Amino acid sequence: MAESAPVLTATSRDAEPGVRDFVALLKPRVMSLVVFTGAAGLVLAPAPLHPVLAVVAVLCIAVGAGASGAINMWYDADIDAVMSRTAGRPIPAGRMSRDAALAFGCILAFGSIGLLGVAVNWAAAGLLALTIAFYVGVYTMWLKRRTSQNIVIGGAAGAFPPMIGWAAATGDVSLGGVVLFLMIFFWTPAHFWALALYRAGDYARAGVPMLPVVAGRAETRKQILIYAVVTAAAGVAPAFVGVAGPAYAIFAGVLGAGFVGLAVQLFRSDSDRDAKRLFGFSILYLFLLFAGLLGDRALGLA
Amino acid sequence: MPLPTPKSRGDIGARNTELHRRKRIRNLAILAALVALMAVFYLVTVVRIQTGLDAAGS
Repeated sequence: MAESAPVLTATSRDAEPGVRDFVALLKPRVMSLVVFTGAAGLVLAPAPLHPVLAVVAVLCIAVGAGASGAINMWYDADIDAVMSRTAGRPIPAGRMSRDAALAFGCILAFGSIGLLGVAVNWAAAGLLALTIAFYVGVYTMWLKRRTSQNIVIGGAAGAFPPMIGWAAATGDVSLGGVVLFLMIFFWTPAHFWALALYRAGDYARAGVPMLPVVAGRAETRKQILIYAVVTAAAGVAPAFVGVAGPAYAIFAGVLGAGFVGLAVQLFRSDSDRDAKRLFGFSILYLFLLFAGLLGDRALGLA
Repeated sequence: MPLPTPKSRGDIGARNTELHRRKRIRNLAILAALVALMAVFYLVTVVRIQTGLDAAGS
């Protein structure tokens, strides 16, 4: 592990973080996807929400996601220091103490949950609390270092935002919100395992039992292909529960075929290049899928 | 960037200047966040009075 990592020597006295370090704790890139899917859930829900409350809801979802990221970086500072992808983060780089990151994350977590409950409704706030607790408690503290299925179960935390958006608008969780949740839930393993394939050395050094490290590349590629097929099917599902229309179904079907096609290519070739290509496309896939749902709703095609 | 480790009296001065600059920016950011939070609470209160509690989903 990380015996000599700066994270173990940085204290609140000698680490003086700047604003950029606090922003980095929020994992802005992850947050942007969370904001987009959360806002999509809110827009797609059948009940309209006042624009000001909608903005506050999305803000709370974003801040809640950022809080999860900050607490995750507090807990995972030791393995972040060992992995080249994460070694530059504020704690392992020695720019911030772990205590500061934890305090920052907790303040944002309780603040976002409280504000969402008071301003919008407590169903959405409860889901946000569940999401943060799931990401920190179930994924980060429990599953991540123990099982190769960490990302399958823990991925649920990343799938909650559209459901929170839906609950913010309607006050409850119905089939439409669940379908949006499942779209991201099934997408997550293929997305992260593609990354893990070409970062397997990093994960192995850090002692994180990602699937390629534990079960090997062949098994990972097979699992990616299976999840890609399920993801493609889930991507079309909104058209069958009244969230979107046939035009979206065709759009999602074409995107899903592309996703499965890249997974098949990776399954056959076993090259890092194809793993990177699938990882990159998976981000675009999810973005386009939710953009398609929004476009379908905007054009009134449902 | 990590703060430079001071090796001389001049370095200590430079380190303190950088330290104060970071603290000042951080304090301004906290101030901006608090003002934004106040604005959010004000707007939410106005909206909820206008639309009624039921319309807001509670």
